Amino acid sequence: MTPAQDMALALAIRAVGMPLLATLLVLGALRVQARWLRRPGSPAGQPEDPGPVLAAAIWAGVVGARGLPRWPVADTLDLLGPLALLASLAARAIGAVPESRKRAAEWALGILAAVAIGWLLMVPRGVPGAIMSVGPGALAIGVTWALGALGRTGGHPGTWHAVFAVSAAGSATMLALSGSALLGQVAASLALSGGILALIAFLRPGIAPGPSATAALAAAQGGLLAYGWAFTEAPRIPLLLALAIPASALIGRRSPGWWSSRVLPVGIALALSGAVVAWSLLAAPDPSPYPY
Amino acid sequence: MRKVIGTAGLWTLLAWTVAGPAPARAQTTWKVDPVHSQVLFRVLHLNIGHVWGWFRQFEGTVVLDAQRPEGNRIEFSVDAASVDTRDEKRDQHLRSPDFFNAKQAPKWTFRSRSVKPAGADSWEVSGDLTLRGVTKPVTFTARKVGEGKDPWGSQRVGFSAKFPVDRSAFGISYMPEGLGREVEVFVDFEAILQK
Repeated sequence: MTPAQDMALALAIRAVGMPLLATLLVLGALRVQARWLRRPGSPAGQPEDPGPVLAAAIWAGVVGARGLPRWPVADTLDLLGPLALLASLAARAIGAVPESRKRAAEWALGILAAVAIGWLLMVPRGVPGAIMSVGPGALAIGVTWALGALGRTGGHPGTWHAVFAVSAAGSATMLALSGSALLGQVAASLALSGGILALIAFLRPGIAPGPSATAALAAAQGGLLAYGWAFTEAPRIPLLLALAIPASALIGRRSPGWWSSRVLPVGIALALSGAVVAWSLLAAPDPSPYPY
Repeated sequence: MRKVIGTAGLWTLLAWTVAGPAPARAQTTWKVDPVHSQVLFRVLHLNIGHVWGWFRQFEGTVVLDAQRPEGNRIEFSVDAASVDTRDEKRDQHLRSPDFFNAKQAPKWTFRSRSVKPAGADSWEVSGDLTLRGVTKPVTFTARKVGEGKDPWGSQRVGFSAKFPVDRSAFGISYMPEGLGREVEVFVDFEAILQK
């Protein structure tokens, strides 16, 4: 094969292979969770929450894009997968908390997760000044987590995931325009995962993903954007807007109508995501690709 | 008066004879002159040709010990964000987390563990190279290009070295289909003797 053919094949693998891999991982996560990781005693027909396996799939995706992590950790992006897994496990644990205390437990855990993720992802080794950047990162992740928690408390199960998929797609474009194709690819995989889960929830409501799945996705998206805040040239305002887009899932969540509980929130998310992309395009000095 | 001067002179002569002339300094420290030094690299592009680049900001120190070669040291530090490949968008991509991740790992360093003579005007240098937060041992040969006084009275010495770096070993593995895995690094520097 000629070098040009090599390059074309590699780009095709990235363009087709990554979505295919994301699809297989998400479906595989649901299958594994439903069949082999059921909690003892749970009814056979009851759907399981695929969060931990989905988080493991996210981790595998980051390893696939970055390569195997090193110890001690040299690049804090390698911590994104483990943090998403911890977030999903924590969300599953909260499921056992009595209903009257669940909201407080979610907020408390969300704040802890925000500080932990912000600290671990945004403060590189040997750079003490970067501690100042933990604040906005922790705030950002806390917002994402909280919105994920709110998304779990009402409304159609697929709406949050559809809104998340749209916001992750906008984040992917913004991160790619900021100069990092790698972060854009990871965000695109999250968008695909969210989209697949939304489709499953809309088409088969009986097997809708649960709280730990939203926690895994929220932690991964929040962590990715916090990392982008610290280590890329991504513009700040569209970055914060991308984090806030999942709030659209709150719109119409108490309404039984199909239009107000599904179409409207996704439409608003699309508009906001478009604003994120447009702002990033305007902020990028010259968004056209350079000759590699 | 003549007697005092003569006695003092005699004592000085005596002291000098016993102590001997002041010994030549064994260990010398040299600071890299960035204006007359270069740190370049080249990497294979699409298996067709090479892309060259260089770093605009770096600093270094060389310590040479004429009597104890095991005391020789080289320390070098490069500012990863100062990469320049004559295309600003490519440089921005290189600074991003895809390649150098310059905001998280701003300094690349080399610290020698041993600098041993390896022939006339050559030294075998072994040490730790840290790129993107990952440290690996490297060994290469440094050749002395020349030494002398410049027109402003400073003593200078020049060295040249080149060595390969496996970028994937340091976590710089993006775009393996378009860029070679091995990057050749060229370092040519002049250093000024510090008093």
